[in-house]
Amino acid sequence: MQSYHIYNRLTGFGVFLTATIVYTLTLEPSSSFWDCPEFITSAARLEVGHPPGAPLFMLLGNLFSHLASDPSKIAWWINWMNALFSAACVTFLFWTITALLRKLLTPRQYEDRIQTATILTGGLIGALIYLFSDTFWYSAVEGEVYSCSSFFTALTFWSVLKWETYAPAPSADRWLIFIALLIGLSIGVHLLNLLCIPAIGLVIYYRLSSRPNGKGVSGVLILSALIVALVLFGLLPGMMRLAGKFELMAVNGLGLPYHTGTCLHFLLLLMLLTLCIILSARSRHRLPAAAAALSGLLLTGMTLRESAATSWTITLTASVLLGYLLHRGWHRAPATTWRILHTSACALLMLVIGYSTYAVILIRASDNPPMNQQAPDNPFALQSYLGREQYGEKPLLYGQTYISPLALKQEGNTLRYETKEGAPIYRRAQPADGHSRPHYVEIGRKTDYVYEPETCVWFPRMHDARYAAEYRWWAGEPTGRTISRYDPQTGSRQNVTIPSAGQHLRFLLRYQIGFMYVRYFLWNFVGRQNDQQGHGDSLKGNWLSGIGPIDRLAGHDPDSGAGTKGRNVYYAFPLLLGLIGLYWQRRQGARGRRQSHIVGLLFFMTGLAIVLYLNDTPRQPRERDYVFAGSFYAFAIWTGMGAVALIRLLSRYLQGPKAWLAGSLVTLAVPLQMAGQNWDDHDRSGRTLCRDMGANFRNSLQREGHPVLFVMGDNDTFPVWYGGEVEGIRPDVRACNLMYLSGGVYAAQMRLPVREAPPLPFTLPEQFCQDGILDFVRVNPSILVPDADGQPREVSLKTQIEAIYRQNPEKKPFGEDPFEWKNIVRYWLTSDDPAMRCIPTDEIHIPVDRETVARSGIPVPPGTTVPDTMVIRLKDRSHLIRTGLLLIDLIAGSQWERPLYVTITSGLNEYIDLSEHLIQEGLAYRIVPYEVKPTDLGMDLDRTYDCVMNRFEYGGLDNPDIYLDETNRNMGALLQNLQIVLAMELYRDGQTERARKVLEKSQETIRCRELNNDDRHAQAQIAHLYRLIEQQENGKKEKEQNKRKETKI
Amino acid sequence: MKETDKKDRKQSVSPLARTNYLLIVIGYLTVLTGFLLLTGPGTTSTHFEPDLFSVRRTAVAPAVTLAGFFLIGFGVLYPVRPSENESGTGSTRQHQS
Repeated sequence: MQSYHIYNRLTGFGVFLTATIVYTLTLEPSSSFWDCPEFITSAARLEVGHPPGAPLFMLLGNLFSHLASDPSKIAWWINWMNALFSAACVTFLFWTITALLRKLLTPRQYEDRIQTATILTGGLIGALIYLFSDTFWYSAVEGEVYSCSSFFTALTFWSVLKWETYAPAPSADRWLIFIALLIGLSIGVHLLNLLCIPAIGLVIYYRLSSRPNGKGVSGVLILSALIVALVLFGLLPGMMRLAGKFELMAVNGLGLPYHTGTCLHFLLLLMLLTLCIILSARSRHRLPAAAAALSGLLLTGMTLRESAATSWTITLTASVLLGYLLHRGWHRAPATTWRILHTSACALLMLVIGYSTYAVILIRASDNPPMNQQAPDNPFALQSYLGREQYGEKPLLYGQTYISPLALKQEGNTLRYETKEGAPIYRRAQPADGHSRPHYVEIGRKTDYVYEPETCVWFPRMHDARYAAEYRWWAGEPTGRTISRYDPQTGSRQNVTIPSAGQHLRFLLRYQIGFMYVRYFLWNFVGRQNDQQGHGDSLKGNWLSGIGPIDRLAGHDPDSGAGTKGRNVYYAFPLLLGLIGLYWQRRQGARGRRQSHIVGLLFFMTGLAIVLYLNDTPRQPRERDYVFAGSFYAFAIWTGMGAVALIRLLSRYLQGPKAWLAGSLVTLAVPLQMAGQNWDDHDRSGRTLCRDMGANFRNSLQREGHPVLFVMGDNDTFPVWYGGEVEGIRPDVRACNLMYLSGGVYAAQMRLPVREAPPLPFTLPEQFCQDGILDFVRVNPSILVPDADGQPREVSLKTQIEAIYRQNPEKKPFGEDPFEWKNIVRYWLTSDDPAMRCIPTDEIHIPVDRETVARSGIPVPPGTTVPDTMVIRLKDRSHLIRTGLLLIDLIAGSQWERPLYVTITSGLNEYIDLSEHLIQEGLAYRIVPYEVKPTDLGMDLDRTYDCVMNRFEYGGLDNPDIYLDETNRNMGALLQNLQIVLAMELYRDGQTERARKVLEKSQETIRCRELNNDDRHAQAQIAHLYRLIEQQENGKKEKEQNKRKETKI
Repeated sequence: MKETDKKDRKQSVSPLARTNYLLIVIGYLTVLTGFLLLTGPGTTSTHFEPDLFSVRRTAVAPAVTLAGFFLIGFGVLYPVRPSENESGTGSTRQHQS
């Protein structure tokens, strides 16, 4: 028996070591695309990343970041931390499987050598399959939170099995308290860990109940679902809500410094919970204990909702219920009641303590770090941050369909969109607000648009109007109810048909479950067609078994992606093993069936339950398999059981040791085959493209004048931030994300200096950039003007102003040039009358000082004259959002001193059309005052040449053997394209020598042949250019030779 | 009824002993110290604050905070001797063997 423990531990460490080696060998040496650079920045520099934040991950990553010898190694160390967490996760999986198997195979806890070997083999096979599985491996070698989150899930599940071993002794309860701490802490990594709670509940029930039955099980399920909901929708936002009330009272009411109320609330909560723990441990004074329990519970804010009435109802009900339960419990079974009260209070305290990692976010956000998303520097903002409110709300139980129009309401003579007002939004008082002491100012209320109530349905699965075409593709034309409504655009009543309940269900089954979950599940245990993003066709990103007839039957083209690294097929062996394991487990008596319920519940909660909660829309920007890693973890447990089932089956025909050996070897082939398939497309070594792209974007800009770089998507913004914040590349560059700029909070942050870069040169005063003001500005609106007959006539504002200026040339009511930005800001946008705040023209004038332009380094191609005025045209635009407004404001405010650039991957046109004012320099467009016609050369050849030849780094693309996933292929293609275009333009410009050098550089730096560029095409272009250059050079030589000949003659 | 109550009182209902509580309290005080070490001056509209990234705030503070949380976890699981806590631990030991 003792030897079992030794072997179990040793094998566990062996698994840990193997996993660490595998993940270290395949680790990405720097940051990876998508959120990784942002998470690494938030960890290494303790800055505030995107909602809902990951404070514990920040602390852990920060610890590892200090192991780096220089800043360029920080990303490696944080990636490596994740490799360790993943290895530890696999190790706990091993111990979980062996613990479960041991309870099935040797209930008397005495095993002979064969039994020991069989149990360990089961654990090993399951752990190895998970180690080498697609999704888990992906997260293990990059700087995201999912590896750490998986570790917490594994540790939690393992801990509850520990409890099960020691229960029902009261001392075993320490494991439950420990689990509460883990769940609390893991909120600071990812909320996924909350989903373990139902499985934990079931373990407890099966262990403690003398006669478990279906009624009890359903009771436990309901109770644990209630606990998940109470934490997720009650405690997490509620604690911030209540802290916000304390904060408001302390700061606005009593004039105390910021954070006093929040701290006060938190300390009071800690004290009450501690009091409850002490009183319940003494088990003597019922009334004080009950009072402490109740007030502690209420102080967590668990019972608070947005509306006061609901909050009171829930609070009163909860109080009465708690009182009744305690009273009844004390009457019937006092000891048990005290024990439950005590353990619950301890657990709640641990949960709160774990959750308090969010103080890190609160403290850092208050100090204005360079990255400070949503600036959650007070409990109100932190609550929105935690609730990810800026991403919008998805309806879960009841709400709109994608067809649903917004509800209208009559207000006087006009129709308005109906809105629902929510909680007030507060922010800290600024100097302009005129408060001498700390103060929170209400700047408006959260508002949500309301959808036409008649078109709202229960359980809406297709809810976002932006994806109407895709919804139709997945679920067909709407065939539900038809509703007649007034359409404000056409001014008449129109019929609207909403999708039927069956169609919502069809979408749930086909897309949300089938495509967004089952497909990922099968990727891991059956195989994967290729590494291209799937959107539902037969060619990209499907599951693939590798068995031709099956794949053809499923409609997945086996030829697409054949022979590429992204093709991985396991012939469904891991799936089969798991199903056999599940079957075998359920045949092991009541114990086995109960185990299968527990593992099954974990499988469901971390898989299908997430699908229901996410309510995903079609056209996701990337594959989302990483969310479901927990579910694949649960299935891996069954694959381990499958190995044991096979060994047990063989032992019927073979002798014990032989059966074990044969079974082990056969099942070991499964994870090894997976490793062989997956290695090449999970090996990220040698690839630094993400890091280098961030550096390249920054290095594209000129070195003088503190350039501003506008960025837009995840894959230019985050690498650019990472380059500046973590590696300190070009600290003079100020990055500004155009999408975030539409929010007032981010716009305010752009007025702060960052490292060497001064604030952005806005001319619009700060109070006009806040949320709620100028969110949405009309462009050249029509007004009603009486014509000669006195009849009102619709005229555009611009025409009217022009008429006024014509009639009275002297008066000039709106400044010298009414369409100059300065005057638009002065007379219109900052007008005291909100109705006046618009842009009264569709052509904005910005003065240009030629001397400044010449001084600032703006390239002026020969033959181009710099005009006196730059004209920004807003034709066909009815309005601008804040981003467009501030872009124009910055162009004016820069006065051509401060260089403005935008990455070539950003779509500026979404906000304003500047396509005729852009000159490419490297990977960025520079905004220039003169017009660049489509026929002109839109590229600064000298600077781009300098970038391509000297400034850029190529992310390891010179090594043809490294693996590039789809994002990396796109980025590599971007670089290759730039080189080819540059060579072409140089050739056209007659600079053949330079063109040749660029081509040589291209051949030398980009030797990967898998770029999305259609590499053959690129190679053909390069060869063609070479020929052209050669011809020209030969021509020159011939001419020279001819000349020489002529002179000789 | 009263008799059972008396019996209950003899045994502590807590799975944790004094040492555990002590470790948890020390752990949380450490966490709070970490939070305090994290605070300091911030960037203003005219001045970028390099102290935001000082050793105290971005190396010591997070390490202290983490050490505190680790201590709490350790404190919860720290096995207590049977003499310290009558009810729980003895049986724990037996189960472990």
